[in-house]
Amino acid sequence: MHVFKKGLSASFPIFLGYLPVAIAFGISARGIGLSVIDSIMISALIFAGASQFALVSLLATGTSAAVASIAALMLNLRHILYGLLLAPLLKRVKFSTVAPLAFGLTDEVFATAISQLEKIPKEKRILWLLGLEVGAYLSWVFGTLLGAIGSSILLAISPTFAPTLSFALPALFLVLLLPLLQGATMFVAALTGGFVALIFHLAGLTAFGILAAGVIGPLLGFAFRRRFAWNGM
Amino acid sequence: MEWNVMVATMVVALGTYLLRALPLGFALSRRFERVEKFSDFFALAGPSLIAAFLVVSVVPSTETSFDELVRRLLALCAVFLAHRQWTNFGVSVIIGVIVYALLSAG
Repeated sequence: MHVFKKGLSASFPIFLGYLPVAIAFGISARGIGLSVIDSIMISALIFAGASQFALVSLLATGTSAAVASIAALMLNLRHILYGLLLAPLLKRVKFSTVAPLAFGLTDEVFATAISQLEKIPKEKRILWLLGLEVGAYLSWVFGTLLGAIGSSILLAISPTFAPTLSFALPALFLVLLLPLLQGATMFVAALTGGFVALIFHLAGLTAFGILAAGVIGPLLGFAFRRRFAWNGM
Repeated sequence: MEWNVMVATMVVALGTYLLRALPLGFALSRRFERVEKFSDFFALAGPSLIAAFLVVSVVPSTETSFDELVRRLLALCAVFLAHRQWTNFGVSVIIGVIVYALLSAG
């Protein structure tokens, strides 16, 4: 239980970052005419911010359910990498044990897990990850509830506090990245990933950019390491 | 819930779950152990992906003003310094949020 609490406390920065975004989702879902229950159901079942916003906004414009679903899922293609990357840290664990945990593998949960799981004893990693995901999930659903119920009041307040709290996410990503920058190869991979993501993001293809960063970054890191070794430096 | 919203929600929920679960299941299988030489690749993909998240969260849209970008970068400097000082994730994030709030209010 102690490890679960540790995981839960590790989710605090995610909680800070998710809350305003989830509130914004609750407000926008109500804004397009969905009920409070509908809004919460979407957050509780999907638990993926960008695709939820995409789904709701496309349905609001009269796009068919099929097209809206495909577009929303395209945004989540990057999630394919998360399980592949986390698996080496969860060795000798049965898939049936971790299958429920796959539900909570959001960007932020993945980023926190990949940078911190190694510090957790192997036999306690599942419980720690569960605590992390429960904290993130509850903040997401709770934030949606807040936004959906108090949308009119929050619409007046959110322009002030939402952008401030949402800065927690870039801050979280920075503190997660810093300990991973061990050596020039990691640095090159991170720099490349950031650059690739930026180019795609500016072109309006953020989700593909994340996916591309996850492939091109390590490849360039490898190329750098090979050249580095070849030069005998 | 209208039927089209319900169907779309179910499809996206199931699809998202499968996108997260199937690669994890494959990677935990014995078949995957044969391709463990790729573990270096995966180790490098971690920082690359987190750097990507960082960039897209700092540059949220093309409409973001230059001043806003500067505020975010300055607040990130505060996060960096706080992390160097205390190496505590929570403290560093809170300091970053406070600095960002102060810069936004100023």
